[in-house]
Amino acid sequence: MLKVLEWIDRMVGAILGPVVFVGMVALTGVITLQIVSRVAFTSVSWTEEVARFLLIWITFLGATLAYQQGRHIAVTLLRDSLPDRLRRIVSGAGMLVAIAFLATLAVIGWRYMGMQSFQKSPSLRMSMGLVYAVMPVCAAIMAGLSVIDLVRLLAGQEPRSVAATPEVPQ
Amino acid sequence: MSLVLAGLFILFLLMGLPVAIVIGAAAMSALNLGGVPLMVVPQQMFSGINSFALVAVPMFVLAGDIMAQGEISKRLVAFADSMFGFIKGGLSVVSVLAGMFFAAISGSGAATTAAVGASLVPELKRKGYDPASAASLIAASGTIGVVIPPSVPIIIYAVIAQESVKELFLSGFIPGLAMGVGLIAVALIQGHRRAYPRGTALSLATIGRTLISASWGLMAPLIILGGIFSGLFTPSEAAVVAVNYAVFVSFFIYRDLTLSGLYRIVLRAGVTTAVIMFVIAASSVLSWALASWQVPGAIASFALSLSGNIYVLLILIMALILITGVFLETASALIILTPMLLPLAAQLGIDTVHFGIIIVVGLAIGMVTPPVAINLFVASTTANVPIERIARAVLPYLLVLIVVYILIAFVPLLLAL
Repeated sequence: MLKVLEWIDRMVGAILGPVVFVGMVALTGVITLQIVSRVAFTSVSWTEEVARFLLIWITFLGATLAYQQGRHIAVTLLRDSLPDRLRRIVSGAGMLVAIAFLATLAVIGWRYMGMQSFQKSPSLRMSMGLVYAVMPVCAAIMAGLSVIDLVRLLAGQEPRSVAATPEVPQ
Repeated sequence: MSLVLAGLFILFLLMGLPVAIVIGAAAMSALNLGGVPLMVVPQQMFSGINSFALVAVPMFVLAGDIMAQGEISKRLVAFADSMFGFIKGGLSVVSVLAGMFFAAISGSGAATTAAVGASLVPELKRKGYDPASAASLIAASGTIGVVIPPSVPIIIYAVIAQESVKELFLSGFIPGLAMGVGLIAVALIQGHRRAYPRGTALSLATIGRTLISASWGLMAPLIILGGIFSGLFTPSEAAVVAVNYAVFVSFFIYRDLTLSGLYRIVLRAGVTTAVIMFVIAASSVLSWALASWQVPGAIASFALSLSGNIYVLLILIMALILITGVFLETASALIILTPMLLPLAAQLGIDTVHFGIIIVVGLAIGMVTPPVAINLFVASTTANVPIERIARAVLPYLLVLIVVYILIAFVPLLLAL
């Protein structure tokens, strides 16, 4: 059971990595195109819109990846200074809060997407539902990851460590 | 309802939850208790990050990360060394100066600290500089990274305050230089006291040689800042130009970047950005809730009831910014504080651009104040010195930064009189 959960956890990271990478490269490419087209030809109208949508996707998908990697910023000083038993209780309570928030976010994000799906983006005429879909999907994955954390905690394993600082640039 | 919000915020924060979840969960609970339809949550989260100006955040993070890892930063350091290495304790001056150079390329304090640290720490150790003190100086110089443009926190402030990024960038130069001068002064006194050695002898030939060798790196700020201030690019476009330039130089000129290395850097920059942007998204809900309960206005009138004196109030605001910076990471602190303090600043007649510099410099100083001190962590890892020792050694630099901070805040006000 725990092995399966750990495998799911790792797979989330393995899939999201390349996705976020492609998003970043696409963002660079789109704005490069915007600059080149403005200087060399006539400017393309849709680049700014695509860039904003890419940023939204990178935000949610990258935040999910950061969640899987334990890279979100957190103030862990007080919790970590607690005696072991109490620390586990506080961590568990925190996970419940996270699950409740993320699950709610997934549900209302889903409804919001439904409400907006008839709306079309100004220049691409793309359904806005497609843009907004990223929130319920990512919130649901993050809620799932928190459930895995909770199961691990109840099984007596160490919780996913949340790094106090982002990884040091090498 | 705002008390419930504040209580939940502090409770969740102390439980060690990720800051974005803390903000989102506290805001959502309070809105729900207040009977506000929750559809406002996704709406505000999207509108908070649906901004072309914010595209500059991932791109400046990425450009800084690429340039921090290789030859570009090493050669900048060599150039600074050729000019100031001859002074007693000259390598300290070089640390600060290299930090200022790099600040003009990178928009983050951590990247600046890492770039200068990786290139200089071995040399500093070899020359017999006290490792903890040298690392702490590099960390302190790293704070300049977010003051001299480009700067990720300044971009975030500009978006929240609806100010021009360009104007704020322009106002960052002199404060950044002042911080550098202050740090150099303290470093020189310490170098004299500890009888640090002189380094590279001053010679025009060496200066010329290192200048040419560093020219690719030195051209980067010219392109980035020149492009923005001449109006050729928007700041977001300039950030992308910086990325392309960094990739080009690292791949084709210095050839010190591999494809797999690039993959790792891009992915890391993506995740770093997403962490910041997710906090921005969650905070948009918080700001909306606070604004609808008229909290920022209440804070302003409460502060004005304490004192009518602008100088007293500004000192209080600065103290609040510094204390927040001690406990919260820069971007989160900025995103939470800005909407709450802006109305007060406006009532005091402080210019929005100037207030942006006050808040960014104050939070930048928080990058070297433990427990949450990103620059100290980076310096500790790159120099391999325990964080406790660096935290003690940073004190004189911290003091001079605070003195400069007070000058940065008050001199423009006094000049305007």
